[in-house]
Amino acid sequence: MNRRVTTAVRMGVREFRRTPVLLALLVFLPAYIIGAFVLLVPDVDVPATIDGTRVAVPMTDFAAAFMTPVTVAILSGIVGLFLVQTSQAADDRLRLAGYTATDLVVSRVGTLGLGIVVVTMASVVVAVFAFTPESTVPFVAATLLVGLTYGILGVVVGIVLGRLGGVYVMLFSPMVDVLLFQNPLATDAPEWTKLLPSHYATNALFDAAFTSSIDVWDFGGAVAYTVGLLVIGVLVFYQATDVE
Amino acid sequence: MNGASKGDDARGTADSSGDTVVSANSVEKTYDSILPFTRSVEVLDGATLHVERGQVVGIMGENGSGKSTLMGILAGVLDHDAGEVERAGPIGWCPQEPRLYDRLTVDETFQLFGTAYGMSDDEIVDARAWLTDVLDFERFRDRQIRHLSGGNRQKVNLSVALMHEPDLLLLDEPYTGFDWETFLAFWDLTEELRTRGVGVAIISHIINERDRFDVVYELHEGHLHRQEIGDDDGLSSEPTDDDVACERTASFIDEAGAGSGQRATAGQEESE
Repeated sequence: MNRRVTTAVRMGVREFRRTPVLLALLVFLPAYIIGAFVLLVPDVDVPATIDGTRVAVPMTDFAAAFMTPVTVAILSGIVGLFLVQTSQAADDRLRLAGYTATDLVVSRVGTLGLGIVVVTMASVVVAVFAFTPESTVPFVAATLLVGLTYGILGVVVGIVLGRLGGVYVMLFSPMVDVLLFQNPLATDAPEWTKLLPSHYATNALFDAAFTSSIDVWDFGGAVAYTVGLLVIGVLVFYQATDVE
Repeated sequence: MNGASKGDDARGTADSSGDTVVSANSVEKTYDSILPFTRSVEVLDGATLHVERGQVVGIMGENGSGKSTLMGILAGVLDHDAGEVERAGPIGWCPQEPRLYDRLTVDETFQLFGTAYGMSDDEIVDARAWLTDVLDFERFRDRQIRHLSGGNRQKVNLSVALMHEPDLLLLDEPYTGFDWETFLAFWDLTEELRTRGVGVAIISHIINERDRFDVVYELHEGHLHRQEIGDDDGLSSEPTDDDVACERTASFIDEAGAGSGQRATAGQEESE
């Protein structure tokens, strides 16, 4: 990384560090959402569709595994939104001062990535207090992919919409996508729900949580979706901060 | 260079004369909306302006006349629909609203933008020492931007535009919130920059300050009208080289002449 990129990433991390409300959310929300669900659900087995097969899993394990991507999607979206909305006005000035589009994109993606790693780690730590995934590394990787997907969506939404509208969208979207349509308890989800951002990543996550096998297609689909969104995000960001 | 196209170099290419640091010719800009039942707003319609090295140029006009849009286009952060903009040398741009990172300290802001300008650490330290001394905000160096008063934030805003000692300074109401001493220090600094050969364009509402400018442009209904201060030949309501006449220019010049400072007043007395 060149001097401009390292300086911008360093400053971006400092900005995050000086946002106590966001930091508090990163710690509090995983504990609240995942922890509360685990404590509240009854200690029974529930039928869930994992890797195309109907299996019975303990409700507490299911709650921990299921609420992890929900939490990560919400928080990553908010981090992406926050990142772009606090920096966008000054980013075009930074471009004018000499940052190339590549410098700035790499800097912001780097900062976003660090934020999503923090969100993922905080959520996974809370989740593993309640249950042990069958395949831990793939579980963490799938969670990270959910975070990256929604983090990039947060950036795009943050550029296109205002702060209030953006927050609503980034709270509402994971609820609809992950909580409703990627729910393994649900049956006969419509075919179009496969197009939703978290479809492949959550499939991979549930496989990793409850089976020892890894579905390469789900991981591949999740990575492809993330890369596709990243390309769109970079183009939107580039357009938003473009200078002559 | 067709300004309407993407990819123009923000650092620009030298003007053929070698003395012009920025020139805008017949620039047009309209704000369109993609929403139905909303109207487009035509802001600039053939605006023409030139800033020479060592020249201090004032840009005046009523609220909403498009001064900040023009400044954004001159700086290269806004697209224009038609016309040409040419720039020579590094640019310093001080927008009306400080575009800074609120949660960075003053020192970090200097570090970030200094790095952006390609300055070494020593050069950044020197620039910071110079500007915090001249504009008197050395004691706020470790304070985050969001915790600064409006005036001090504006000092940082101005400093970011100045720190790399550009050939062209574009200042959009740079002294908003300044106290009197800082206001005077700003004009001392401007004079110093003038003698160094920096071209300075300033958006100003303070008509009494017009004697500090070499040239004043008034922006009205999308057109720029040029007036050379202290030069009676420049006191004309004839169309400028954008070929557009503007009746209001005459009254503007009359009013400006009546309320102007020493240099313009002296010129009028001589003519009388």
